Amino acid sequence: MILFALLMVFLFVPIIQEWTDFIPVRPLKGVIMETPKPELTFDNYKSNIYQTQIEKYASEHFGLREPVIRIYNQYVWSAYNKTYCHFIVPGKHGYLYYALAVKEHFGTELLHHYKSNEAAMKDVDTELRMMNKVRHVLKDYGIEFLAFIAPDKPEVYPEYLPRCDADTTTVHIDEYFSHRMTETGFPFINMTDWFVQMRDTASFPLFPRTDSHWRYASIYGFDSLFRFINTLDGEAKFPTLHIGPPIVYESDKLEGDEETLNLIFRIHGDKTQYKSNITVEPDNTHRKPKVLFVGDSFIYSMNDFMPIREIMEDREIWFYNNTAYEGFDNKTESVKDIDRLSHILNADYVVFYSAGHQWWEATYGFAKDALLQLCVSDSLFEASVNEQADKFRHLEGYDNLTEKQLRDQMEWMLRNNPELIPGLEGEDMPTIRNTERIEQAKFTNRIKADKDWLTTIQMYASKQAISFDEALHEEANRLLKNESLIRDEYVFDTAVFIQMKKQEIIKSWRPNPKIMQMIQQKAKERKLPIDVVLEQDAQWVINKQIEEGSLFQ
Amino acid sequence: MVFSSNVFLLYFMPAFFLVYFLMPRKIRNYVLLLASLIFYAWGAPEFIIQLIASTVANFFLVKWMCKTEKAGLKKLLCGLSIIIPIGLLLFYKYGNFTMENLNAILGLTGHAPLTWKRIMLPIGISFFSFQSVTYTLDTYRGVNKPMEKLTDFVLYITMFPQLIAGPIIRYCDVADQIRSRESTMDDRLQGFYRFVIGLCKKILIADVIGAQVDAILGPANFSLLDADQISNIFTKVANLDSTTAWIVSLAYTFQIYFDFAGYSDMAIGLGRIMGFKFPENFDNPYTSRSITEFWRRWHKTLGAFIMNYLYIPLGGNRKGKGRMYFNLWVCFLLSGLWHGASWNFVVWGALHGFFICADKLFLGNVMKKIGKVPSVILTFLTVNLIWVFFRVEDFGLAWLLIKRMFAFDFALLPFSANAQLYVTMIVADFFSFITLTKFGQKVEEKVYFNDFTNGQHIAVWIVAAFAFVFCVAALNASSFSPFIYFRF
Repeated sequence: MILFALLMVFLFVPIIQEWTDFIPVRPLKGVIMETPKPELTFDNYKSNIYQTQIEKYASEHFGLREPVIRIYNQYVWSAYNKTYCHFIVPGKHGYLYYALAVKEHFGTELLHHYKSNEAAMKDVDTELRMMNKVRHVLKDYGIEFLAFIAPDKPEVYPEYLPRCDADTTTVHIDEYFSHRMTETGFPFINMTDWFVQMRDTASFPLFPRTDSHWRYASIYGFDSLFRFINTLDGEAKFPTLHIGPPIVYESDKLEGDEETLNLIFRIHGDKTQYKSNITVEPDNTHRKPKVLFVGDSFIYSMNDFMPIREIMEDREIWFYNNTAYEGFDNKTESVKDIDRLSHILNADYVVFYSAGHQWWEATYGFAKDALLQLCVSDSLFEASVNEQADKFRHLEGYDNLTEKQLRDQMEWMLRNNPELIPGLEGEDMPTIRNTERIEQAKFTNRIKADKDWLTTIQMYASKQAISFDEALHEEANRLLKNESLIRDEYVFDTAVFIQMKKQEIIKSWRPNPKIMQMIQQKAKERKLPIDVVLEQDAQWVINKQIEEGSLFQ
Repeated sequence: MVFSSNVFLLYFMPAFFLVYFLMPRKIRNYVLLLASLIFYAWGAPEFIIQLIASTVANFFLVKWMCKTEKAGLKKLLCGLSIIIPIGLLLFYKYGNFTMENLNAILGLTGHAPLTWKRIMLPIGISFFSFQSVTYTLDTYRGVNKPMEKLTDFVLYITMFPQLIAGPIIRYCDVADQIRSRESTMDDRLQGFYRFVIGLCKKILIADVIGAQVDAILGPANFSLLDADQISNIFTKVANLDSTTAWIVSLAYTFQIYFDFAGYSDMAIGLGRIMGFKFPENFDNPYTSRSITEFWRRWHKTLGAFIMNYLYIPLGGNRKGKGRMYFNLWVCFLLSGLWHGASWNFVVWGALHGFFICADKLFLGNVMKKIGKVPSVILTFLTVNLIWVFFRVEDFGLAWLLIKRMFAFDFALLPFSANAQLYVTMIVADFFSFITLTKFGQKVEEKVYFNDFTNGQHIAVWIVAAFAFVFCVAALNASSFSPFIYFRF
């Protein structure tokens, strides 16, 4: 009887946990596409959509899911050296690698992108040609464009890789890029060979055993990058860094990829971590640079190990040319939603950086887009679309498209092949410029550099219920046309200012999973919608700032 | 809904048993009936009305059949009562198959193909239509009286533990239990243990092995694949070394056994928690010494159904040897077709029929003479080969796999390359053959059929609870495949 009663309780534990969270659990790490709670409608039910989705939803929300998943992950890891985590390849002795880097090492990654070496090399040549064109144009505005190839772990520690069949006939993308960049004179620095040479003499691991990204050793990579940049023509220079010897300490914190395996126990007992004291030698002869980094996750460790605020005036990261992290506080926006031209022109250096295996995707569309932004005015682009549309309109496959469909296709084609636009073709450096937009972008940057002016524009945007970028655009246009400025016309309104600050706070919270989890918890407790709790908490922060007198500073 | 799903394991099952056991005995059948209808409506929303309608119609037809004194009308009502479920089965299960073959014939004779809307197969139809037939025939033959209450009959047909995949329960086996049954605490606990055994077979063995089989052979049915995908599968199989080809075929042999036997265990276990004693469906089939014995141990309730309701009515062995072989063939052809509406299942059934006849003619004697272990191995390998036609719908691919198995280009495969598959197959192998030893038989007797002492209950309870958690973990861990978390 007791056992049966216990059995019933046992079967109900997940449901009780789901409702009450009475057992504290270690949350799972990693990113999954969460299934939205399905809506029960007759159509959904009849077509089995509801049943399928609720099963998936249940698998993501049942009580005690976290420890239960860790149990099985631990079992497959310990027994079979296997993980369900996407893109992580377990090597020997607990070494973890990134799957695409492993494929690149064994020469099998090319076939995921191209049918032959020739096709791959042709695309590299095209991309590099556009990179050189972008560099040429940016030089006119005192900006240097360069590339940085971060090392791949499989190249540095190949002995721990799992057994794989290698294809020795394929081209290695970072090697070919390096070769062609050298030939065309595009400035770049490739860290791979140096790291391979250093691995046996370094007193610290160049990659952590359980992370596919570089960590501590990246200090030396970034230092080399800064030194290399200082040899280029730019006005702004990085100050000299003095890197102290490695300091060994212990930390319970799991390294990147190991965390994502979601195991119960650590892969190995070694908790050794490294850091260095870095001192910055002041340089009064040059101003510190503003840098725009476009690339992959190998930049993360710069935040963790380098005194970035002391060595750069500003830095912005365009992660995979997709998500923009502005400034040192990483204000997050989508790259496609920002005024890209003004951001590019605001930098002293534009650095495309990526680990070796990621160069198949170089430059994640940045070079094409930058070329268009810098050189092609709206009217020229429009004219080019028309020209191409006229060429294609009567061709088979296009003759049945509507005018809008045809123009959409032409636009897409030109954005992907900007060299089809007159003035950008061939090997010659472009002579055309998107002059009006460039001037406007420069004005935008001038406004942004003035804190009071910027605040006025933000308030104006808030009052007019338009986006900040639209307001900024309007002000830049007024500057361009010598019209009266918003800055001079706008009267300070406290209520608008507070509302604007509140929205800023909420916007900065939304991408933060920890804060949002807290907000969700509060919303659950107070039985209020999340948006209302966000408003309340932001108001609380504003009140606090008013009390402290920091809000209007 | 299937037993090995989160919705069933974490929500439906606990909620059902809580309500079921909190209710007074008199109401429990209604709770079970309601839960069974919800269970079926969840998985086959479009068919639930037909299921209930055909079941209600059967109930009244059989009632009428029993009341009438007229022999002709009795036969007519009996026939009608069989035609309804069998008609539904033929329509839903074989409609597409018939049309495809008809169109193939029309194509060959130069006629335009007929168009039709593809019919979705309602889950469990093969099982509940047979159960309906057993009710009609057992009542017609006077083995049992008809059910008095409509709800009891609907419950017999739709009872959720056995509704989807059996065992096929004859009406006469369960009629009394529906009316009145005892569920001791021992039954409830042992039922749970049995359910967990089935769950482990399904999730920890069959699903793990199945994923690897699918990775090479693709889905069983190619209808959703495009030409490139099919061509890739053929290329993959054509390039298999013999070792891998054998591993694939053996893996499927274990997968299908542990999948099906696991499901039967779960059904028997769930039934036992409520006090039902469902018939056993598997009895270590891979330890058989001949194909005939294999069919006495594999899907026993189907074998019993075919014997009682097809083989014997066809004349069995009472009308001479020639007729007996013919009857056996027909039974196995139809058994193959019952498993799936496709020619590969017919071939599978025909091959089994062939070996059954061969057993009767000479093979049975040969197997007896060569000794236990060789005969078990030979039978297992034969079954393994025939399973290829069950798994692979495309004959070309099935033949290609068999050719690779006998190409004799064996390769030494590193254990670490697919350790989970190999370990799971070793475990499957162990549990498939353990009863060949006396020790294994004792273990089986103890685990499956013996009552436990209180101390043993506590130990087994803990093991079962852990196994249950582990199965839920396995069910969900493989679907939680996160991407590396980017630290901004």
